[in-house]
Amino acid sequence: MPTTTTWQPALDRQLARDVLAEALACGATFAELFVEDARSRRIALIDQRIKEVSSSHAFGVGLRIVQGHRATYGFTSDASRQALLTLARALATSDPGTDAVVPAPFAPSSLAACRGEDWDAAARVDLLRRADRAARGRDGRIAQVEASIEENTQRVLVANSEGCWVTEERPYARMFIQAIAAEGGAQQVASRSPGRAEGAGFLLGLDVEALAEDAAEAAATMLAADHCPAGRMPVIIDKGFGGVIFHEACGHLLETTSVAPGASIFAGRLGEEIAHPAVTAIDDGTLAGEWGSVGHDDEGLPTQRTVLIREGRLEAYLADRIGAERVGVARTGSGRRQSYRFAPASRMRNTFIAPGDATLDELIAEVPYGLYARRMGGGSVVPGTGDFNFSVREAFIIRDGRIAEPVRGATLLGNGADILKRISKVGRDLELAAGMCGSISGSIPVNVGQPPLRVDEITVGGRS
Amino acid sequence: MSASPAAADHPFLGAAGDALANAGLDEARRLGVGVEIYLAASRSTQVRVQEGKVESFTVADSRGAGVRVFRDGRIGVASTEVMEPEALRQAVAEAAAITAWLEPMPGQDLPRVEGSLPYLDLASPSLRQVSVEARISRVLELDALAREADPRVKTVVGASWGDVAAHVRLCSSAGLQRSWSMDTAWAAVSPLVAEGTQTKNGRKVVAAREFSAFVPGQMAREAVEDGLLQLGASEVPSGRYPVVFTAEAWADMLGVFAGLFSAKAAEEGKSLLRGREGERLAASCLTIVDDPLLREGMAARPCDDEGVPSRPHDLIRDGHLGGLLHNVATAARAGGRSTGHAARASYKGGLGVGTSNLVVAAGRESEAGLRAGASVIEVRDVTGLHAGANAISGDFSLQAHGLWHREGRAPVPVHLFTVSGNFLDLLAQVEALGQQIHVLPSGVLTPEVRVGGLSIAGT
Repeated sequence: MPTTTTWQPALDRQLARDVLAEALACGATFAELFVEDARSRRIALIDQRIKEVSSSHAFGVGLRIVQGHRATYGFTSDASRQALLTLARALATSDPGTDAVVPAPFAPSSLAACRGEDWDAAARVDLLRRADRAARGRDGRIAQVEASIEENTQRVLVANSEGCWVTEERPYARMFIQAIAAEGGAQQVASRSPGRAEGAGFLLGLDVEALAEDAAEAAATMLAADHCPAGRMPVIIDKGFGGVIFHEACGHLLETTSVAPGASIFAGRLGEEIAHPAVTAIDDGTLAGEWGSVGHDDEGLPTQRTVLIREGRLEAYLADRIGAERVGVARTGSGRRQSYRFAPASRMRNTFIAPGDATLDELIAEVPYGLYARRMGGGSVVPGTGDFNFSVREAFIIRDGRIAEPVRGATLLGNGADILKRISKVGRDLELAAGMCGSISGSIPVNVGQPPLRVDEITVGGRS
Repeated sequence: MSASPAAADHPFLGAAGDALANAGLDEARRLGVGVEIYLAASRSTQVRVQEGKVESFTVADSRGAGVRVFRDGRIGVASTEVMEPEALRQAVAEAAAITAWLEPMPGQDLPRVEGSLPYLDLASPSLRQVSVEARISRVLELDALAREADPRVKTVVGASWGDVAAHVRLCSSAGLQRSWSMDTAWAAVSPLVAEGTQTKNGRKVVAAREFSAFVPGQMAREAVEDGLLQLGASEVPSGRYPVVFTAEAWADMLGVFAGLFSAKAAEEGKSLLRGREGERLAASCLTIVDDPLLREGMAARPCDDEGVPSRPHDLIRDGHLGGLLHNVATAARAGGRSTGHAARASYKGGLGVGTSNLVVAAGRESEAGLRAGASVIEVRDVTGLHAGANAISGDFSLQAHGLWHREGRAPVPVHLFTVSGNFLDLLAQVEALGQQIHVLPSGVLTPEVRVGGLSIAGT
């Protein structure tokens, strides 16, 4: 397998300067180039066989031209001078403004690149096989195990008309283990999928047996589960992926993409108390090696730690360049995109609710009857209204302060503004969990996270 | 080759395309392996309008090559976006090297695909001739008409346009040479309407191959109407109700569970339909056909992603499960022939099995008749499909909104309820289908569907 080497952007500074100048020639105020060269590999096991190994190489250049709050964007995989100048002319705004802005000289900066590594297939095959054995060994009802490893190295260059010239290399590694339990025609599935923004060392250090056994046990447990009863009740949402509730119900509504057009229920509410005082929420891109961390955002600004809500009070929105201007707030290093195929937008990084004091046991003990959401699934939110819906993959009924029978098919239904006031107690054990977040600028790696916490009352969907 | 009028625009039918294809074929010959080369290109424009102004405008020129190298029952996969002969050679070499790590599987020899393609012209020269300015002004008009349609419209969250002209050339060291082109365009508008303390989102999406299909006045009216219908919504008492799915909601349900018909999913133990071909699984009034040849469906295609000519395939006929959907490899393992349902998400990654247009046969009921009864829930929209629907277990539990119809009373809007059940029960409980077929942007063509009894959890 080829090894990666130190990256030289396939675009020299003179060409970048000429393209930016061409883009600005019709009177735009800002222009930006985003060059991406990404290599990824995937290896997958299913049916106890290594069934897929694939490799891909993505390459392209995105060009954004901004005039006021209006952006035009284009991209091409052809980085020749002719192709890029043609793209610039196609995008340049057709109503000339005043004087053309002259691009500023570039001021280069870059994040220390991670070392290229040999891709050792044998080590990965071993990880996959260990996961398969452990999951099947945990419970005889495990009928299928699917395990895969995805690694990606994204190299980017951001160059803009204000003199920014940032190069960065971003390694990602993630392992995915899914166990399917089957019994009497019914099937249940559970998965575990840790990921970090670092090289293969993370994968090789994983306790795959523990992850696989955990997934197998969860799938087998859900086989015996009856349908979740519906109704309004207190819910204890456990740590880690439980943070998806905040991500979906609040995080997206704090992105300037939804604040700027007034489409968010949190628009115009900076400084107001929007959550229970127990809630402090942070979006942090600086955590070393975390799945949602970056050195710079995809607009070339160093990443930041942004306190969104402090003890219930709204402190900040997540702002990209255009969003910051539209809302009138400072940029937070939150301009992100999936690839050169997307213009950047305000997006989350590692978003979590800060830890409090309680233990999980204490939280459960205080509930006479309710739901313990051990592991959340995905969800979605209607931006305009804040109404959300997400699934609980592994759920149990709480009776008399104790975890009782497992239930399946539970969903949590509510509203972002409403639930923030109902999170009344936050536990001490913070955990982050990797996920992919899809939105206007594509699908990007983010962590969600939280300690276990109590929601006083929420609508649980299930079968009545 | 399909005799398409768009052939002249095909970026890979010419010297440059030949050079790419030949570089990959030559490298495979040198390495003594079989190869399939998939060259894909698309040009697209996207426009998003907010508050009467163009908020974003995107021009995309996307190209990539995917190769599958076949060696002794193993398939190595690689892709590149650098469209140069040297990059193709490298991709083939890498895919060949990858095969060393794979385990052989039966049926994984280089496909020998036969047959000529049916005539199916999916290119739309008229759409391509519409100027950028005309596309933009149509979205501006859509946004303006939606804002003016009713005083309760607060804002329009998004009015957007997208179009794509896609081209594929597929060739292999077994002598396969295919190429096709297709044009699609879509427009969407989503007004936010408010009354009292309630705010609701309306929505209308249209997809078509002709510019004339996008009628801003009608789209704006329907989107606003969709929002207004939800205003004043209350919660519905929990219980079992007969449920009418609108075509949009039914299409979403089918889309989520369509993967169950895949023979690949069945092989991997991920389909509840495994081994049940021919069984009576659904109500006898239900027939669902996968039909790639219907030009009005947005998932139409002349052949699948292995070049196997398209033809209609019964998924469910009068309640009985037809055959599952196969690509060349899954068919070989099952001892049959490909049904022409090889699918790849893009030039990247491996090849699986996928549906094309899903066509649900019309029934006899009027749309009013479907809603008749003492107490019927009309589900107009389901959300959170990726969260609340499990394609492996077949279970779903989805947030929905719609209307509550009761005999002798005006229908009332209801919201924030969950509709839940299992996909197989859903198919078995279909009671009636509407007479009118609706064409949805996702490539589903379906009437409205009434289901006997589903669990509704509200208050």
